[in-house]
Amino acid sequence: MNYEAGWRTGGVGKFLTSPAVVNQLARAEVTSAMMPPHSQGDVVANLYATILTGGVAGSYSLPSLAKMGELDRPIGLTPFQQATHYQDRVVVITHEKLASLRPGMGTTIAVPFAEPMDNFLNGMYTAYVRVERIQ
Amino acid sequence: MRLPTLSSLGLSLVALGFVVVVPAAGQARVPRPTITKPTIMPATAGRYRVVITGFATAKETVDTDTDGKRDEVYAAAAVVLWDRRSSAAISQPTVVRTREYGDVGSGRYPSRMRAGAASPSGGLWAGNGSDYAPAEFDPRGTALPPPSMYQLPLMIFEGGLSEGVEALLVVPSLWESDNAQRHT
Repeated sequence: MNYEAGWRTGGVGKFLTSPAVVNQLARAEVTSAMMPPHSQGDVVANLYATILTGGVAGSYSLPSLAKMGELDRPIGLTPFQQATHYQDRVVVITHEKLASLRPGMGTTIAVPFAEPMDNFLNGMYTAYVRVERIQ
Repeated sequence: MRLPTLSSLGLSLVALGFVVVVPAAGQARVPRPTITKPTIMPATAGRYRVVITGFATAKETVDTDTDGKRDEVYAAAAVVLWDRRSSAAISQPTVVRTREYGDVGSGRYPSRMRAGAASPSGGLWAGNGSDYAPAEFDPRGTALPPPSMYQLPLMIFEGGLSEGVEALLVVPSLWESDNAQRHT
């Protein structure tokens, strides 16, 4: 099971009630946040493995960078407790957050995917998510 | 007086039958964004469209050039519409993704979209300050081409959100492609 299959079949209940998502839900504006990293003893998933255990958890551990260059990998990896982790970026959108938008208007948020410059990763990207009110 | 919500009016979000454009060869999956049928919107609701408009490269990753000059990147997003009152998902989680953007290698990578200036045929890097995908992308721009299901701007949701009821979770991601095992 890979990242996509994990999302489709892994169950999202715990994700939706996680502190990071609940906190995003409570914020007045649309913004992005990183899911917190899991502790080393709570490795939830290995993006490079064929088996993804634990369903969707928002934070994934990559125990080895040895295969870097052979496999697709998410940009935005960070070191955490002697391992490399990927933490999902979450954006929560509600009608209340967008109440000031009239139909035809929109707002764009920048979602950073920055990596340390000293661990063979080095990427610094930004994705732009736009929300438009159409009715 | 408090106006009724979509749910209290008995209106439900119904997925449209959607005409899917099959991507070019090499793109194994067809993204299926969550798109719901337009309904009459009360004052406590709105209809919204969410897209990933593009991405910027301020610094490329460490990557070999065997699959094109510098970085080849695609954008993806996991999307879940849920009911805040019950914390239950209204729609099944979906993951949508774009084609790759980067060096098209004079036709060696026909499914890839050209972006970046690392070589005459593209490749994302920061050697000239910053590269963008799609190539003409302006992060400050508001006039966008029509969103697509497999390239930027990427359609990830269109539907109604009503006060106190629905919330949309979007989990955007960017992936450095090495033309190998797919994770999205």
